[in-house]
Amino acid sequence: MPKNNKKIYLLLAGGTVLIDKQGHFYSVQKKEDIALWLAQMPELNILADMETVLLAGEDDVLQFSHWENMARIIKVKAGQADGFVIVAPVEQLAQTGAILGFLLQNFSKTIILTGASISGTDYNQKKALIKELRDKHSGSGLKSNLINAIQVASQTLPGPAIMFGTRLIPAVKAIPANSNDRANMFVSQDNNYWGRVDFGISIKSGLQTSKPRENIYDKISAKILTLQDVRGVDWNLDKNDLLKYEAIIVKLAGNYQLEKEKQLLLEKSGRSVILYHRELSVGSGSLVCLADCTWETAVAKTLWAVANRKKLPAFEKVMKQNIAGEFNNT
Amino acid sequence: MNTQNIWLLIAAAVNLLMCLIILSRGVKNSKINLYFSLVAFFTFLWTCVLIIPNLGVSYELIRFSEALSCPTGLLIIVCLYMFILNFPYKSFDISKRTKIFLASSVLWTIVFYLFFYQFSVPNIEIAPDHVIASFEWYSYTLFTLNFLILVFMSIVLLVKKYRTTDGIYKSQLKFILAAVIIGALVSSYANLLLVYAYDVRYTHLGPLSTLLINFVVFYFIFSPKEKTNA
Repeated sequence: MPKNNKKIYLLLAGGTVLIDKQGHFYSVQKKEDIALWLAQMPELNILADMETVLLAGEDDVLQFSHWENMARIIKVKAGQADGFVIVAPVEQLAQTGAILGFLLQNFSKTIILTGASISGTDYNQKKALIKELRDKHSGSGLKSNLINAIQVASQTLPGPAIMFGTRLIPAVKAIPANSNDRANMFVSQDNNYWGRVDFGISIKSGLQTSKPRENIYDKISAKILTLQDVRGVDWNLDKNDLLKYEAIIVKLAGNYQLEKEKQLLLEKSGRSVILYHRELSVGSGSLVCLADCTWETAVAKTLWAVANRKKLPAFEKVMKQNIAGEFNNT
Repeated sequence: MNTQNIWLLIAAAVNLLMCLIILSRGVKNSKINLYFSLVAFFTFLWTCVLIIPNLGVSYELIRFSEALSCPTGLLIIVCLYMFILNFPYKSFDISKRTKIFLASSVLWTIVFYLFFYQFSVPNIEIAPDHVIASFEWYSYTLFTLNFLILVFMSIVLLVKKYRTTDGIYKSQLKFILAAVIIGALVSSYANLLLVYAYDVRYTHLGPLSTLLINFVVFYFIFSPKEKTNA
């Protein structure tokens, strides 16, 4: 009897560490590891008809080319898939989700990102953490995260989302949780969630699921300088240092006006500049200020806007627009 | 109204409420919600069917409702089995043999006890404070065996799931397992086996024991530990 299962594409880009009851580790470094890795989770094949694509190994750090490749594969496979699940390192999960949110706007298929609570195969460096995960959570958490992600991937959501622990979070709003709970490592910046795991997976009612036209982009710029500003501390940069970048994004340490010398340096650089703080309300000269979104989203938006400058309205206008639901309480 | 009826009414009301709560969460994309709402609904129906004999209405109606307690009870356990299969996610495919067994269990019980209730419950004895039904011995024994096999299958499936699950679902399954075992033991004894002894004093215990799993599910849904705007 043929299965009436949904077709889900599983894109592996790190974050694949599994720990079984006997303490054995499984992860995907190369294509040949996939079969053994999947054999540890036979439930996945019952939940959906899975097709696996390897984008990066467990020890790889995701680069711009990986994200562009991810978007390209998703765009190509969209016609055959009911949904996509991306497994990525926990340290880069929010960034990956934010980037996909801008590259694949109003995408017709659901994209869910998830991963294990630890990433990388340097297990000797993480013995205490691994022991804690085994004792408290019976593993790295990847299996239950993946199962939840696959179940959600076939349902319609407004945009990419992160499924981690008991929370389903819009990808453009996810930030690392400031707690020791390794099961729930992400929260939503404005406490807006699309679902939670309580009695099964409960998706929030009233989510906007009818979408305007898709806007698909396949480029993000690699030439962005990110600066972390501390008041009173000089950057030790001059104008020539900034010329090799297309844009500069400065993360302020608080809601304050940038020092005059720094403002002048940025304005004279001739580059697109973004000043970011989550609660920024004071302007700094003619520089574009960004607030009410996550840092990862601010970076992703800048990368996308700079790379696609020719197709978009003025940079300053685009950065202020709510493109992918990234601003708080949207 | 006697004490037994009061307890039965409480159990019926709680199960109906839970059925409506779970239905309101949506059943289209959730087999968990679908099967649990059916469990709650059939438990409500079963409890109503247990109340009717205590109301002392017509002889035939009492006989019919006594007979109806069997298929409704079986539907509860079949839906419970399907719920366990899908909670928290479907990790096994059931064999064709099991599907046939489930379907045939439901079919024969409904046909026999609904359409041949006069044969299945040949006699009832109406006393001032209780009603005792005489079930046809062979068919009732077959029903008892059928029911107990389904209870056993459900618990085995639940234990299997508990052992293979990790993370957040493991603790949920622990509570569900405890609630199902207690509910199954109490209902099987009070509502199934005591019938052989013509003892109807504890009929209310079965529906009351089902409240345990309702409370567990209620806790999962409404527990305040996760403050999320979802």
